[in-house]
Amino acid sequence: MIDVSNLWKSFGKKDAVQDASFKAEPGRIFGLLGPNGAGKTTTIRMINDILTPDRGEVRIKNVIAGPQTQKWIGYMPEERGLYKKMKVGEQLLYFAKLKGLSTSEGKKVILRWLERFEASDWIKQEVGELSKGMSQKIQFIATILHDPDIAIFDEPFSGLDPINSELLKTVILELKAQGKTILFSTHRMEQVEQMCDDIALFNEGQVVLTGNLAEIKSSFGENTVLLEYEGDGAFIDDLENVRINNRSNRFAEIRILEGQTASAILKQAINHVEVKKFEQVEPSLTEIFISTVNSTKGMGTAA
Amino acid sequence: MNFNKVRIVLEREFFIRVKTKMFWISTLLVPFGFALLIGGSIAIQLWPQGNEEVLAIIDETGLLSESLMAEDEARYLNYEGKTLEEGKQDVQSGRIDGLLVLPASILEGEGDAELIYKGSGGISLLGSVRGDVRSVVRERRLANAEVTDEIRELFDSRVGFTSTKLNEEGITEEDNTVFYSAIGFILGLIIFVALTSYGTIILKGVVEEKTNRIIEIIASSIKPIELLVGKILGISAVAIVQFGLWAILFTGMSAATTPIVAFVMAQQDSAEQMMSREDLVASAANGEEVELSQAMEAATNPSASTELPFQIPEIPVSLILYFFLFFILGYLLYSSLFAAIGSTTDATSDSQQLMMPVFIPILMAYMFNVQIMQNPSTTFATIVSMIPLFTPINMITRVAISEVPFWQIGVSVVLMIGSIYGVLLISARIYRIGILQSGGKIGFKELAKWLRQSN
Repeated sequence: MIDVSNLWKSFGKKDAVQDASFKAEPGRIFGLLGPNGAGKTTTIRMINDILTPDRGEVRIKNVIAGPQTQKWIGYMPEERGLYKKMKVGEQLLYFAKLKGLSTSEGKKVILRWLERFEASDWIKQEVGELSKGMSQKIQFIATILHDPDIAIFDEPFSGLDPINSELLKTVILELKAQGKTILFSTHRMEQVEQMCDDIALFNEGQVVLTGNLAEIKSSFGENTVLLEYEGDGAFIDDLENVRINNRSNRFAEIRILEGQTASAILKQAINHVEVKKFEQVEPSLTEIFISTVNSTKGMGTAA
Repeated sequence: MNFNKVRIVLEREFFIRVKTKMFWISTLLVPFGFALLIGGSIAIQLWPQGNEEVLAIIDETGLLSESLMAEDEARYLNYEGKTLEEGKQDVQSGRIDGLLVLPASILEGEGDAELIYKGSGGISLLGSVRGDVRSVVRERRLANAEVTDEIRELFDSRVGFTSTKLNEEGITEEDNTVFYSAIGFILGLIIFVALTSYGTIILKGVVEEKTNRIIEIIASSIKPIELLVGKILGISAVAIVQFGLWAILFTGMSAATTPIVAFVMAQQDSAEQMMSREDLVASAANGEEVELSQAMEAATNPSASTELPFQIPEIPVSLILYFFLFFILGYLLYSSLFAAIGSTTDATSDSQQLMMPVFIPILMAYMFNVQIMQNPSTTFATIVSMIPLFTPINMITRVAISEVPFWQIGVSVVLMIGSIYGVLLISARIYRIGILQSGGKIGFKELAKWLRQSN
């Protein structure tokens, strides 16, 4: 379990994280969401005891973050790298030992994971000789080989090829099934919507919203319309009191704001285009983020 | 600090380097390179010194040219009957390398002998011609003054000079100042080279971890100070192994080469006896170097001294121990500085600017050493050798050459240990922030800020 309470961190004059609090529970996937520079990585580094908070505290399994809690965490940073001149097996063993495994334990789990990822043949190869996709797999193994109770991934899908993306998703879901606490950050919200159980939305160093994702969504109500159509969609631009997210020339995600109704939009649509699909749904994460950020800023409508 | 983690880092840093082919190639090649250098310089010294330049003599006295030609038949040519202008033209056209003009007044001690040449031949030509002219003119002047043979013999006989050191027990011992000066300078030089090269290895290692983005994974497992200390100790282990291997190789090689050196030097000894006194005077400066390099070669194996034409001073064990002491202390001091610098940059090339302040004291110490080698006991030498940044290079030179009071060594060691601790603390602060920093150059202002900033 990760318990972040009232965390502050500043670099010089810049407050990177301001009063952040959230909780990640075992057996669930927790998403730190928000644009680049919102304070996600700084928070993750404090959870990993790479940085020390200015104020507030991080507790891992009820222990304040420190050398002891580092052993319980498997961390894959956004900026990933390995020693190029070191052999795959030696390198993984080095990481395993730094996480407190003995040489013999380390060797055992390394063999198991390499086999699992069909990478046993690489054990004697230098990392510099591997392809990008191959070294990404080694990176996953390095993150979880010490069987941590907590797995943290910072922007895990950035730079991954589709095969490794799927592989990582499978691994994360497996870890979840084993009852591990999983936390990851991303700035691409739509990509992870289906994976997260709980979220914290970060903006400009602050947690603007946190909690169970399903509850958050239903609290916003079915205030969004998904419209699929054929024809000239110019009328959409003339709609008042809406926010258009995610639009293409045959599709629009329309957030209904005050003073507008779904049926009024449907009438307009029928008048202008051939409607293929009209559905009233809960808002997307992107929409939730935008409306939360706007409301905390005290700006009713925008876009 | 968790020393188990330090040990894990230490082992990696050590084995990753010792296991490479480059390590073994360079470890084996350096002694051979060094031997080649010494062998080469001996060979150059033994190379026939005779100049090939041909000089024509215009002898206004009419008395000297014959004796000069007797000194070196191949060099001197009589231009009797030719004018100065003709002689100059021949120099211009390259028919002769130079024109030696001896005015009539030279025998009265007034005029100067003049060499007109194009400048080829250098100092050694000038020296030997000057020697030749001087001895011939002197010979003639003595003859003119009708000096007796006894006086002439007195004049020619050499003036001996030796120096003797009085040690603490009041026993006199042979003074080998020249030998120990060379040893002292060489030891300082070795530390100079070692500090810069192992320091650069540390710096590259730190930069590698940053550029490969590996540092964050490491930092999520251990404290930066543990990584820093493990790295420094791991590479110092590499240095110790390398120096150990070199010591063994040098001992083995000198044992193998001593008979050859002894043979060569016996040859040279007889060759020297055949050289005229003037030649020796002319090459006095070079001659001293010959002896030094011989002494160095032979010193590695004291048993050779019985076969050698001169006495080889021994290198005391204490000097070797001091060498390792100052080398290790110096390494610890400088490597933490290099590590701190490495942590502030993403690429080795970027670190050049920041490396300057660390290289400057090493270079300064090296330059001080030129002075200290000649005057090891001055106030300047004493003060400089006790400043921690200079101690490793300057103190070992002083210890090798002179009797450094024990308190000075003690104070310098204490000062060094103190500054290693201080520098390590400062470096660790810079390091733990620097390793996570990416992008952008970091200036000294920024560094000062980091020192005050918490992690």
